[in-house]
Parts: sequence; structure tokens; C-alpha cells
Amino acid sequence: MLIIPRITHPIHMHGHDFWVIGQAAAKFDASTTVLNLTNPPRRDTASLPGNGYLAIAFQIDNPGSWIMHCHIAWHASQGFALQFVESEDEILSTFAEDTTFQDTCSAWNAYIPIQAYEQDDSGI
Amino acid sequence: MVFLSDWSHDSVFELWYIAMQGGPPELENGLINGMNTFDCSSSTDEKCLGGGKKFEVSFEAGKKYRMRLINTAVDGHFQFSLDGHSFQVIAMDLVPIVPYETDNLYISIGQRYDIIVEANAAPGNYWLRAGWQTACSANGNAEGITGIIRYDNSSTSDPTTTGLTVDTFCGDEALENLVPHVALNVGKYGEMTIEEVGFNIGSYFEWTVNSSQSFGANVLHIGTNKLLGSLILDWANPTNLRLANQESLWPAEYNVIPIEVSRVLLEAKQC
Repeated sequence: MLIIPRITHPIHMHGHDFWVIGQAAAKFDASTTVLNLTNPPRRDTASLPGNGYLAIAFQIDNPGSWIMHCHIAWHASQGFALQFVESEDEILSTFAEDTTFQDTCSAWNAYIPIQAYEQDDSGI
Repeated sequence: MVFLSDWSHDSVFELWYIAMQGGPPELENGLINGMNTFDCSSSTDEKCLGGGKKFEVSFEAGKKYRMRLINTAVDGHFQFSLDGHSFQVIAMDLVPIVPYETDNLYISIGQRYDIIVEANAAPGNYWLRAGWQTACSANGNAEGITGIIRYDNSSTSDPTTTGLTVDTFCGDEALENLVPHVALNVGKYGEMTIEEVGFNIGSYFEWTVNSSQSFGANVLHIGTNKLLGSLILDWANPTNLRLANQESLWPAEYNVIPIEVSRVLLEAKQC
């Protein structure tokens, strides 16, 4: 049996500063947990306590694909991440052109068959 | 700038093969701005060479110094302190805050803090301590991740000062101390999503988040052996390329939460 300690995870987000509106080593209950909505700390990395919760808020004002991940590097490699696709219809217009994607990915696909190392983690 | 980090004599690419089993490998040392010493006398590792130096900073009595701290560790939580000095904390993650006074500072991985310290101690040599939190993860030189403050930079002797004893707290500075200088309120928010953190033992140990399957309608659920909630990047087909190719049905391993205009409230929890 593998015992996983409920350790603290530093949660980091790209693309936004977020408000930290709640953070405690306690059970979260949406109906009773008190959240601070008045000038809460704004930052881009905050800890999720073991056996607890981290409550954050941010405004949707920056179209893009933004990753949020645990900043313990091993955990990021172990897939502890998600991505927000924010205002999807507006994302492409934030790039000058999209040929860079195609060119870079073509180069990558040409490189893959001759490279020595295979992707052996989440790739984050 | 003051970079606080951990260090191993092995590369992370080697250590990853330990980490992927589940338990994190213990790194041998920590560095301050890339510098530290290490006692190799009891090491059989041929890569342990010794001969390092401590990071040093000169203080001129009466002056104030701004230090910009960042935790760049792989797996380390620091309780930063300066023997003989308290300091003011003036910013977190580049956001200016109402300054507060303290003599120690919790810095989680990825976090940045700006502090102002006044050179107001009796002239001498003082330890600057990246206090390693052994309660959060192990390190082979937990008590020795230090630099030196010198009021007389012609001195070459080590400080004899004693300082803060690192405690066992692995979290952030108290929220009530972190008050942004420019006040912004959250106001009304449109929706709340709850993302639970879990894990899965697959081909290796995987963490999961967003595994409650509360996906939006445009997430494609396909049959893979990846548990929902573990993000696995396909370097050949990144998220924005899929958008450019109008492929916005998201395979589960992209672990996407689509969001549209409205304020979003997000909560992550460990059950």
C-alpha cells in the first residue's frame, strides 16, 4: 500500500495574477467557508495546503491558453497541471500570424525520428 | 536578485527516474545565487568536487538594501532570514503590498518577494539563511544553505552569528500580511469550479487535478489509458496549434477547462 502524504503544493498560474480568496488546511464547504473578496492578495503562485483548500479568483481579460501547475518540478512532470483555454474565439487574433506554429511543429516532427531521447514525462 | 535553489550532483534527468516512482529524491545541497560550499569528505560520489564558495553581499552601515528573492528550487520550501536583521516585505510576485516588518519569510517554489533591509546591526559578519524546511522535503545540507553579509568586505572570516531556527510550516506568508498597495476587490463572480487533487499509479506515479470530470461541452472524451486530470503535453500538437487548425475538441490529456467572459472563481482542494 502506497501512503501519499497530504503535502503542500505551490500552485502557479500563467497569464494572470489571481486573487487568493481562501486558503486553509481545512475542508472546503461552498456554503459555509468564508471567502475574502475585499482586496485579497494578488499573485501568481500560492500554496494549496495539505488536507486543505486554496480558493482563487481571476478576471477573464487575457485571451490565451494558460497552464496552471504545481511548481514542485517532479509533480509538474507527473502531470499535476491543467490549462485554461480562455476566450477561445479571440486567441488566434492575439498572434500576428499562425505560420510560426506550422513551421515550428514541422521542424519538430522532422527532428523527432532522429533525436536520442523520448518524452518520458508530462512534457511540462 | 537573490536566487534560492536546491542542487544535486546528479542531473534532474537522472533523478526523474527516482521521482517517477512516487517518492521524491533527496537533493544534496542548496544554493544562493548559484553558490554554496559542500563537504565532500564523506562522499563517494566522484562528481562531488568541493571547493565551492558562499554567496557574499556587502553592507554599508546605515544604508538600506532592496533584495528581490525568488525560490527556484525543484522541491524545496525556504524560510528566509538574515541574522541580526529584520526587514520590510514590500512586494509579492511583483505586486507591491503595504509593507510589513518581519524577521523571517516563507517562500514557496516559484514565489518572489521584494524586501528592504537596513544595515543597522553592529558592524560584523552575519549569516544570510535560506532556511530549508525539512518538514516539506529532505535535503542533504539543510542547515548549511547560507550566504554571508559583510559590513567590512575585506573580512574573510565566517560569521559566528546564530539565527532563526527553521520551523515546520510548509505554506505561505499569512494572507492578512499580504495586502496589495493598489486595492482591487473581487466583486461579483460568475461561476465556481472545484478541482480536486488526486493521484494515479499508471506507468509511473501521476498527479491529477480536474479529475472530477466537470468539463465543458467541448471537451472530447477519448479512450486512452490516461486518467482524466493528468496533463500530458503533445509537443507536436500544442494547444494553440490545435486552435489554429480548428481542432478545439480537447483530448482528455490536454486537461483543458474552457472559460469565457465572466469572473471565474476557482478552488483547488485535496481531499
